[in-house]
Amino acid sequence: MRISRNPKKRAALSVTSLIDVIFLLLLFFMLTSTFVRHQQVDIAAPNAEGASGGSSPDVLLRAGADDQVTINGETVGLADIADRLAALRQAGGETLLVTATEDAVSQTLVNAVEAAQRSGFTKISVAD
Amino acid sequence: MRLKQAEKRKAQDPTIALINVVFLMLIFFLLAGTIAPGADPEIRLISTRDAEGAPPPAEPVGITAEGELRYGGAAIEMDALIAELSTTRSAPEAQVPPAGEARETGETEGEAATGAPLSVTADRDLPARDLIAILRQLREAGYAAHIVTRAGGPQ
Repeated sequence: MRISRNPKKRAALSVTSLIDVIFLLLLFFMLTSTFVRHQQVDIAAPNAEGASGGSSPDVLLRAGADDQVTINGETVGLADIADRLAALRQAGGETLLVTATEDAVSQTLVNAVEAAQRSGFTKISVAD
Repeated sequence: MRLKQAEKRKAQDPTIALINVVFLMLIFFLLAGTIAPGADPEIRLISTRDAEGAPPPAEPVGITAEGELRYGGAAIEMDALIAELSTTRSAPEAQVPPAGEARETGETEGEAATGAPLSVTADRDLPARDLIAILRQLREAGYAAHIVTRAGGPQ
């Protein structure tokens, strides 16, 4: 009698458990990853209190309330300071001093410093 | 006599081994991986548009809108913060650089000695003067700092 050979059965890939694992991985990465893109602004911390500045700065920037910034005594909105600063930089300004009024918030201060850096000022110092 | 051919063992389902390995990897990463600490919910980051890109800060010094310092997920006083920083970071500059000179941004004296600058996450509504005062205190302790912001422009 001829015995028929056992047909070799190929194990089916267990899809359910595979999906389980992939879902777990997906969950893990979804919960742990952050999608906020960060940036950084270098702010040269002010000199020790009571120290007098050396030479007077070329440009004086004062952050005020409501996103208003005063450049050399002239009040402009945050949106316009990049143009003003670029013009002052073109005119030969190099050193820039950033101060803040009593009611200015950090957002305005940091945006002012950011604009100053973007305009090409290399010597930016912060004072209060 | 005809010898019976050794029965070929049926190959085990390789999926189970695969899943085992993947699970082990998962557990390894869960335990060993330092998950970026979640942003402090009390601090709404300052937003900027064109600043230099940066990775998520590792151990930021947070400042809430009320001027409260936060480090490692808890409120901390300035003295305690500086003491804490001196143990976790390399020694600060031995000497504060002479006052009264304009400092170039992005360049801090003795940066190699102090290690990377501190990451400071400040709330956008923190009074600017308080921020400047805190930065000055940190500098007097020998730590340079940069402000970590979120990209996206002013909102």
